[in-house]
Amino acid sequence: MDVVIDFAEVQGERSAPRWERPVSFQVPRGTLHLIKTRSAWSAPLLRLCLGFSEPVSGRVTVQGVEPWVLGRSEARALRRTIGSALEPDGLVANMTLRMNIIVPLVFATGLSTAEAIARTEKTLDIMHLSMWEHTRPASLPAEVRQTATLARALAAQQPLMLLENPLASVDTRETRRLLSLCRAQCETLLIATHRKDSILHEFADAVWDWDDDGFRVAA
Amino acid sequence: MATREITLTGITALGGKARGTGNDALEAVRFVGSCVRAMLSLPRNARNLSWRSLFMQVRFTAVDAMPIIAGLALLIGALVIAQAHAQAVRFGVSEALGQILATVIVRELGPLFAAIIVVARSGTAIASELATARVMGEVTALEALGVDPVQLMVLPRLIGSAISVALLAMYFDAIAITGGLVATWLLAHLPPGDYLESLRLGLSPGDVFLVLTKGAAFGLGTAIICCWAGLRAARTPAAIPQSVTKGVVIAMVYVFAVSAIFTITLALWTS
Repeated sequence: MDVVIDFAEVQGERSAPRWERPVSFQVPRGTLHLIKTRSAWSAPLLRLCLGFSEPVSGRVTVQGVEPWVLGRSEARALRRTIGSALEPDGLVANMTLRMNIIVPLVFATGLSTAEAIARTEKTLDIMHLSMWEHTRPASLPAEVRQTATLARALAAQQPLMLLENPLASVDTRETRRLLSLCRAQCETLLIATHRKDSILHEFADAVWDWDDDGFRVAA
Repeated sequence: MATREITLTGITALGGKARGTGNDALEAVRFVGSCVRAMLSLPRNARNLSWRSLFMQVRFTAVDAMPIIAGLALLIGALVIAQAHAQAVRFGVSEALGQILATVIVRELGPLFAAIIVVARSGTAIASELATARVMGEVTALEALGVDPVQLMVLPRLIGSAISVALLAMYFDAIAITGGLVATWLLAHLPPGDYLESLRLGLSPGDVFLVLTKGAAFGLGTAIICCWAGLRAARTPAAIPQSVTKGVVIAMVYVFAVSAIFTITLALWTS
């Protein structure tokens, strides 16, 4: 089994409150894993995956490397192989929605401006965002912002995606459509969600519950 | 017992503060290193410079500041001449007014005032914009996607500020010379031809290089300091004004310190 993400006995980030019980799980290549939890825990979990922080105990491995031990340029190179949509969405306020997708493609993925524009237009089209392309994030409704954040992550066309509470304000039908797009385009996905409904379960290969009682396979 | 505990708490706090300051200094050095590396890689990597941000920075920092710089330069030029005139008449050296202006304004006050205006206008804008981006999670989101914030957000501001302050310093000097010309004509009744001749004797082509270099050093340093202050803001709205204050205060100290270094070095060089 080829494991893409491996958490072994991790108890949170250094210089932050520890999780009560250590967390261990593995995400094999080609699967979608869903973790149902709260934002206070999902944010550090994804930060650990992206190498923004050091685990206080245990070991985090992503694509075979420990992200936190990497130098700045190596960490950046690792992140360039991951599509991510975190909370808060982090759409750049002084750029239009279109530029919010084009800029990371040019600066991180290394596409030429023409290629980035072509890919952005295609992404905006399939995500039904074309009518908002010249709008700045502050003027976008919540569900459009969330779709735009997902679009920015998807446009990079990376084999691994990390999503933090995606599409929370988007209706069930559209969520289903967008997730099937993610599933088709992305080899491996790790989603941390605070959603109560079971719409995301339809796409998941494994669902975990993570609350005060610990980290366990969902019933 | 209580005294011992208080002493230990004090020592712990002092140690924590010293460690914090040390970490800050280390982080600042690392940040300057990243900026230098990004600038050095520019010739190979020009495609990865945000030209739009660079033009916006020059427009805001240089072009939009021209009216206020012009007003200030006219006033400073006239004021320096008015003050110098009284002394010059006393010592019978009225014809040296142009040279006084060249020394005081062109080499010293021009770049200094241009930098102060830029710190007040653009330094605050840079620090608050980047601190807001930090607080709103924009910087983290871009880093998560593998974008280098120094390349995207800092580099255009550094280059834009360096170009802007260098040009504004020249502009300030040109306007101040004009203000001085009017003042010498009205106060000292010195014909404009004599004033310009006196100015020509006081200036050399090296002064243009000096003014441009000083301006670029002021602009570059100001932008680095304000970007650093903005990007290291804590993720809370209260951190935005704190970052701005910190950036502006350090940038002001930097500008005066660099000005002093330039002047002392030049004095030692020419003596």
